[in-house]
Amino acid sequence: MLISCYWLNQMLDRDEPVAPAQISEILTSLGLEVECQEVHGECVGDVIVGEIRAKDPHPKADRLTVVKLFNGSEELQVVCGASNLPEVGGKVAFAPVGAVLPGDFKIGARQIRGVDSSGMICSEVELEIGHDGDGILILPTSFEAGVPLHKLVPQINDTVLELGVTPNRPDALGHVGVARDVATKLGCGLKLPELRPLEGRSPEVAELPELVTLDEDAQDRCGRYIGHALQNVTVAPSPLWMRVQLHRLGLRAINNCVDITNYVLMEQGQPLHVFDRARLNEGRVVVRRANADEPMTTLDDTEIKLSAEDLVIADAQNPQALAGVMGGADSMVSEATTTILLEAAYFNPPKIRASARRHGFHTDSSYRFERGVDHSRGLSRASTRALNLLEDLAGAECIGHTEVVGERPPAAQITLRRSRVRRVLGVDVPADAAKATLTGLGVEVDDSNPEAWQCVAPTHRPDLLREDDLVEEIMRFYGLDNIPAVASVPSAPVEEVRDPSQARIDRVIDSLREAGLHEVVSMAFTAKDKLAPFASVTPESQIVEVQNPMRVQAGYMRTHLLPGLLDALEVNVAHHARAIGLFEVGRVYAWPEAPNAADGPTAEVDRQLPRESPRAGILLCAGRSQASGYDARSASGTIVHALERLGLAAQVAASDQTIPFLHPGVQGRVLALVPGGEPIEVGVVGEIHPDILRGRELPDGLRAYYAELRVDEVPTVGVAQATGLPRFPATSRDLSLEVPVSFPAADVVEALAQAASVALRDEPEIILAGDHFDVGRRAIEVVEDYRGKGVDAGQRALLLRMSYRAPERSVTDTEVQKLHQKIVVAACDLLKPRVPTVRVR
Amino acid sequence: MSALEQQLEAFRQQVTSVDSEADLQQLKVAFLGKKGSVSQLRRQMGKMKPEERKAFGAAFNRCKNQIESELEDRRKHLDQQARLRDLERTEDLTMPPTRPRFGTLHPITRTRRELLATFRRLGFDVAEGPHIEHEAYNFDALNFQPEHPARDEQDTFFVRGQHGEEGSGIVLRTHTSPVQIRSMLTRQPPIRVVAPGTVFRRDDDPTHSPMFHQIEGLYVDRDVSMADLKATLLQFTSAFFGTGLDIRLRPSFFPFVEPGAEFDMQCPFCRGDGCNVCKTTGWIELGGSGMVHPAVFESVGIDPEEYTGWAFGFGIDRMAMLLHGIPDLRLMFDGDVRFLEQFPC
Ligand SMILES: [Zn+2]
Repeated sequence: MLISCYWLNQMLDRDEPVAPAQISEILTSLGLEVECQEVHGECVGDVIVGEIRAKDPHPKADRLTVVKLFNGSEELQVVCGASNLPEVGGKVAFAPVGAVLPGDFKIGARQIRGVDSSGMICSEVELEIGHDGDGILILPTSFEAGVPLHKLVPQINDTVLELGVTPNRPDALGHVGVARDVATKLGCGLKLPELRPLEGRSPEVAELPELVTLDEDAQDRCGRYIGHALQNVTVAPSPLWMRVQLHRLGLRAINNCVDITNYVLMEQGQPLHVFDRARLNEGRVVVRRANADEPMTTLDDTEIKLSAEDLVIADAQNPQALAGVMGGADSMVSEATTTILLEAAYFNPPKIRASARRHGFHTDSSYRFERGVDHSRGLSRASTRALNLLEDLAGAECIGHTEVVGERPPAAQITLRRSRVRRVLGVDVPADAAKATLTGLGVEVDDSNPEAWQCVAPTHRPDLLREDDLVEEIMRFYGLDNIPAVASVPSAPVEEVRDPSQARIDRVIDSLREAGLHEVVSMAFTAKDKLAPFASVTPESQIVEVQNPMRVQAGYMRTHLLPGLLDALEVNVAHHARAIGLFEVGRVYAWPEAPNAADGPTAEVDRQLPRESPRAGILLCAGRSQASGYDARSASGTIVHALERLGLAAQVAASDQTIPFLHPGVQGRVLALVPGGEPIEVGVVGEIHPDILRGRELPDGLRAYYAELRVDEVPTVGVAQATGLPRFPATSRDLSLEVPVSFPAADVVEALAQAASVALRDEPEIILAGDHFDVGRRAIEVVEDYRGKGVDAGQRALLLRMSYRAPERSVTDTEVQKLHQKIVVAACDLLKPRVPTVRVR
Repeated sequence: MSALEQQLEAFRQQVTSVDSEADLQQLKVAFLGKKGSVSQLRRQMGKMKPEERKAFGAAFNRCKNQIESELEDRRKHLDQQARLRDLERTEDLTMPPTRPRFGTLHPITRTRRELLATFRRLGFDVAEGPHIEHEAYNFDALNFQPEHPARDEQDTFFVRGQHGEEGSGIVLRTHTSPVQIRSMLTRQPPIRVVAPGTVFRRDDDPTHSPMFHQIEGLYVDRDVSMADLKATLLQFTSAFFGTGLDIRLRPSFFPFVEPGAEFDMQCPFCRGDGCNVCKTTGWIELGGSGMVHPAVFESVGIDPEEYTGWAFGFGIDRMAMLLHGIPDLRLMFDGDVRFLEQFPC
């Protein structure tokens, strides 16, 4: 909202105008934040009124005129190229020699095609007081030659403030409302333009009930409608002062009728509309709901199809305006207009917002109606103000009027307790200051009970509905700086709801960071095709879709972290040649197959929501670097390490089903091992499928590795518990088993572990050494994976090491040897059905 | 020369050429071991007369002790030589060091953690909520009236229903404020929580990202006032940026608070004198705040006559940019290692 300091000062009942800097400071302190300000008119101080005394053709140029111009004291010769020079006696804006016009344009004495010219006759655009640059600015003949122009049109010199008006303050969308705040702050009166209402005029202006009718089913949409019928209207340009005022506020002058509605809009904050009454069927309007699919052409020449929810202003037949949003082309005021219908109305704010949104309009009018204009005195005032201006500036004559009333909100009756002010603000505001604030804003205050004031909120402040709204008004004017920073409530300890998932997420983040990876944060939405490879994790039907994304490539909530990590990989590979180790811990989103199981007070809402699951993803890639050390096993090592940091032993097992987004030969499942329980699958690891990388902006043949933890499925471990250290040494035995290359080492280890657990039942004193003491490290270690000489092609020799210990004594070589042999034989028997070629070397 | 003396002489000849611990051990075994040459001589004692035996015994012990002591001397000598050799080694530590790879936390994570640590010290618990939220909590319970233009200010992303339908009532949360509702529904006053998290708005320019992060604070108790709000915000800025920086509230509007205020902090870089960061104003706009609107209390079943409360919220990303001097918001979400490496600690 642009606010003219000149205009604002006209509304303050004070001797001296308030300086723009002070206005700006006051407004910001009141919550009408001044976002920027612009000073206008400083450059045209030297421009004066000139009178045309004679016009002669230029001897050498057809289009130029040599003008004798009177500057108030002498006649000067000026060459002018404009085609709209007025006749002798006409007045123009003249920049004498020495003047500096906007854009640092210095006026000097010069010759134009051989003829001396002392100064320049200016256009509106050159003076930055209007939009019309086609010809020179022609001034009223009543202006006296030689007088500085800004003395006659004070709107030229102005400071315009841009206010950020919050949506609760429709009153501040007009100068009157802003002036009311400033006047209240300064303790001065508010000076509104004088009005000449129709009441009491002689001869009396007829009441024309048929001029406006309101349909029964539109009562909820139109709270009040005042119509005036006017004749003998002369459509012409507005006076200069009005054109300048509108220009200062960024509005283009069109003609007096339209300009007056805009002027009153800016002054009173009330949108108005004028119809060419001659073009209204039967010269009347009906406020009604549109018929479904009824067509209308708006005044910006857009064809729209109306909905039965829309409110329209129709003539006897067709819609002539989408009420409160935009007028229609059919009954628009034109040069030929002589009779008009002036509309001033209150429309229901939510209905206007819905209507404007439905048709994609956002107009000055809908902007104010959807926030709520004053349906009472303010509406009457704006209507009469426009009527008076039409009478004064367009020669209009009012021949009839009417008013219809629908539903409108009642004035809020509020009890304001002094104790509440103290309780909410934490400070005592003096009663007289509080009362002065409220009355200044137009609140009716009955303080006969000093502790509980009976207040009536003014209709220009639809945001004042309850007690605390009045407390806020008192606070705004009392000044937030005057509220002390005092903690009046002792900080009693509050209930702490420990959320283990947050602590777990933090530990995962820390462990991945310790592993030397960099944390990234990716957008939670992505393109649908980027999610396609993860259909096995989240089917397409469960993807959460954004209805109004900013870009189609960002229209779907991620179901997986990998697309975001790959986006980051692309950025990195494109820009540098370093190794790239990234991780992200964030949520993925999906509609659940069955509604979320939820309980507690928020269950009803929670059951309707998609599921959000925390995931940790890591991506390792050598990029264009030579030696990164990143490979599939560093990916599995990193993810296993992360689990170990959560207090869990972990291992990677072969995939039981192929994971489609990973290389079919380089992938596995991440298992968390819980003491005394079945291993829990909590993630995957592997090389990213080459097809996915090929679909990205990445160099050919690049390999990248991915590992993921489903953080919410990771079991929780309590506080780490210590055990004593072993008193007797362990004895280890190696064995070399030959198995096919494709057979997972983890399965060999598993077979040995199973065989051991059976064999150890007969040897209760002996245990596998790792089980009790070395958290996260297995008693069965894979030491080497040997392929080559001595091993058949397609086979490998796994060197394994097992450690035995007796907690209460030393073990002997003989008993260990015997036990170990037994375990190895049993393990081979277990493996034989799956790996017939297994053999001990 | 007696046999013992001969053996001692033989030992002495050999011991000086021994230059390893293993050889020394071998030498010891050769002379003093069970079958060693000196030990062998002891067997002769059996054939001796008692008086000879006594003298031989003494000589034998002397010889044995002598050998042991010379072995020890040799050991010490060898040890000393090894030590000196070891000390002659050199290595140039001015060569480029071998460093473990260091990882980094994202500046948003880092800033969020610091903020949470600060608020925990001030007695706040931490709460979270879903990113995809129902309008009932994102708007309705927060006193955003249906079809009120205040909703437009939020530039909301709407979410289609599970079967692609519009009008599901589900949105990407536009602020962390729904966590206020969730906290008040699930906890009993006194409530003091902060809620950090991801939020979404349809906004994309050099200073706005469609996804960003906020932190929200809520305090509900008997007789909590604007004065407490100011005090807590001051405590927070002092704890986070250091003492001596003033704060300033300016009236503003958020549907879920009444009265509402924006809060600014004196610029920590110029301490109010004006600099580039604060665009010469001396103040930094942090966020919004205010007293919990009675309508919000009513929507969660808390009696606004019994309890009052306040809330505040501000952007974590903006705070991170401020703290670390990050020049461009987009750097935060690109994942470029060259950017991320700048936050090693
Ligand atoms: Zn500064």
